[in-house]
Formats: sequence, C-alpha cells, structure tokens
Amino acid sequence: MLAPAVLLVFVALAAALGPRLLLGAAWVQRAPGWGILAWQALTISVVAAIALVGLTLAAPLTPLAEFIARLCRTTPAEVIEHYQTPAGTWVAYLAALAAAGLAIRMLWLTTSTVVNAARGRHTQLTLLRVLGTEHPDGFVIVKHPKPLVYCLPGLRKRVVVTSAALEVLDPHELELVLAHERSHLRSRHDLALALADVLRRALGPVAVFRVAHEQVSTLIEMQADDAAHDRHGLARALVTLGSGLAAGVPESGLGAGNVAAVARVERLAAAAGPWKPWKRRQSLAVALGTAILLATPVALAMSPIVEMIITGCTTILG
Amino acid sequence: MKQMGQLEAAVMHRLWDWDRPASVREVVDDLQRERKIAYTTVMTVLDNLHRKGLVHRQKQGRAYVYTAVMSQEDHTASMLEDVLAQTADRGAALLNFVEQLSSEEQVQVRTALAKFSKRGNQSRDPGEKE
Repeated sequence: MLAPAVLLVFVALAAALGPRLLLGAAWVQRAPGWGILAWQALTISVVAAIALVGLTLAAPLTPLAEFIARLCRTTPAEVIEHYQTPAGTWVAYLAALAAAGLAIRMLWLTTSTVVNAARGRHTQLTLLRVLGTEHPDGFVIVKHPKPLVYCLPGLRKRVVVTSAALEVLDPHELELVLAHERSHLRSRHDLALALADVLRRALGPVAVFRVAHEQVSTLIEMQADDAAHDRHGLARALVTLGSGLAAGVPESGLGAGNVAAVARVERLAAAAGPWKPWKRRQSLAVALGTAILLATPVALAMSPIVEMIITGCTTILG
Repeated sequence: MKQMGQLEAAVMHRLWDWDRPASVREVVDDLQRERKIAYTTVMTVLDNLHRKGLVHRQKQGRAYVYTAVMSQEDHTASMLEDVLAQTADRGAALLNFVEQLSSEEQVQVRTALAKFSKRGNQSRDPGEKE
C-alpha cells in the first residue's frame, strides 16, 4: 500500500539531509573511525531503501507474495492485499526487474573491485620481490627519485618507501609515517574504501554516494594520522612528501587537487593541544544513530506486514 | 619462499647489470662466486621470472638465453605509476600516504604548519610521548 511511497520519501530525506548533517558535524573529524561508520550506515541505509522500494512494489507478484506469506505465516492473499498499489501489475514487474538489476550490478561491481585490487597488488608484489630491498624495520625500500610512501593491504601486506622519501624524512618522521601506514593495514581501510567505491560506481548519479566515497577516503587518512603519536611531526612529514612529489612536475591544472591533504594538515595543526576527550556517551550516540539509520528502511518496508498482524489480532480479539 | 624472492632479485640484478642475453650457466657461475647453488635451482628461478613476464628468452643452440624485459628504472617507474596516478580509479589496491600538492596547496599547508609551530613552542602537548 503505502510502503514504497514512504520508502521513497526516506530515500529522498536521507540522501539530502544525511550528507549535510555529517559534513557539518565536528565529531566526524574528531573521531574519524566513528565518522566512517556513520557514512557507511548512511549509504547502506539509502541503498537498502532503494532496493526495498523495488521489493515492496513487487511484493504482490505471486512468487514473492507466496514467499512473504510463508515467512509471516499468513496467506498470499493477505500479502497481496496489503502490498497492492493502484499502479497495477506492470509496475510490480518493472520494480522486480529493477531490484534484480540493482542486485546483479552490485554483485558484479563488488567482484570486479575485488579482482582488480587483487590483480593490482599481485603485480606490485611480483615487482617488489625483485626491485625492493627489505629493511629490518619491516618495510621495503625501492630506488626512485620521487618521495613516496604507500602500503599494500591484504594478506601479504607491505609498506613501501622510496629512496627519495628516506632522504627527505628524518628518522622520527619516518617512524610516524610508518605508524600511519601500519594503522591502514591493521584497520583494513582498503575494505572501507572498496565498499564506498562499489556504492559510488553502482549509484553514482545519486550525490550522497559520491560525497560518501570522498569523505571515507579522507577519514581513513585522518584515522591513520591519529595512530602517529606526534601530530606536529606527522604534519611536517605530510608537507615534505606532498611538496617533494610536486617538484619538477608541471602544474596540470587538471585533477581534483589535494583537498584531503590540506584538510589533514589543518586538522593536525589545529589540535596542537590534546584533543577534547571523546566521551563514551558520544560513542553510544553514534552507535545508536547508526542502528536506527540501518533499521528504518527495513521497518518501513515491513510496516504493512505489521499492520496486517495487528489488524489480524484485533479481528480475533473482536 | 622468502629465499626464492632473494634469488629472483639476485638473478634479475645480474641480468640488469650485464644488459645482454645470458645463459643459465653464466648466471650459475656468477652466483656461485657468492654461494653454493645448483644449476637446476637457477633454471627454475629463470623459468619463474619468465612466467611472470620479467625476462625474455630465446633458444640458442640447445639452451635458452635470457634478457631482462625492461631496465630496472623502467620496471620501478611502471610499478610506481599506479601509485602516482592521481586517482579515484585506483580503487583499493593500495593506499598512498599523500598525493602531490599544488603550489597553492603548499602555501596553505605551510601557513597552517607555521601557525602550529608558534603555538607548539609555547605549550607542548602534555599528553604527547616523545
């Protein structure tokens, strides 16, 4: 009946207000780990609601109605009655097709993302074996004039440092940068990034998924920055490496620029003193918000069933 | 496994230094000046390197001769291309510490850093462990 419409309203509201709320919230940068969780919850909730619009519209179709009836221990006729829309069967078929299409698309993009990442890493590891020199502190040195530090996540995780980066960083700064990279590897930030990437590619036209991808990319860096015990030193290393990479390269004027790096340095700089303590209350609030955000689409989709059960009870009682 | 990697590196470095086709025998002889190593082991290593696309091989008489596909510099450059590509399309294969800063961004971050040092000198973070 009303479920698809209510879900659509939820999609519109969450997709419009969610990003605005999170982009304006100071706590997201204060506790980037919780920020990542919030963005994930928001995007998953919106994509689930979109899928459920399709499923609720398709619910009156016989096979689905029978399936739902079995789950809810009622008759298909009841299900059809409560999910029927004035739009008719055609819309139900279209919705079923769209929902299946979305599911297949997500599955395909997930597979291709995982395969591409694995392939990219495999190439890197193969070349590293012959080009790299192991350092006793657990990273690999590669001879190259560009100052780069990066990590390869996954089962055979590695941190790679170029010879140029070793030259421009002092040992203390290097230690801080390594702490940052190891934090990426420990927290499996590649998975958070892959999830955001899949959603962005599947539903790119919806702005919330693009913004979420951009935000998650920045927030994983900020969370890793917090693993370094000296914020000043890390900010210095960031500036040294970011500027060193630019040396000798003509300014292209293309590309998105490096907004994230600027935001990171400003964040590290602003927090010269100790952070304002993060309270358990705040964690609880974010966790609760996340749970509500995730539960809402499901609850909305099931509302006709709940209504059906309640009316069923009153009929019996009456 | 780790030893295999070291051997592959040792063999590749010889091919890069020589910069000409070399037979298994030549590589074995050179390696044996440093360590004891069997002919068949080196043959396996070169076979692996061929399978991975790092060396070419050519029949010469009854044996193969091997050459590096690319110079060491070119290999490094191609490996780091993935990292240097400014990119949202790199996906999740690797995570780069920081990307290139434009000159405008360099000014911005330097200003932020300068402000920080001034304050930092007056009162150092008491919670900080050095």
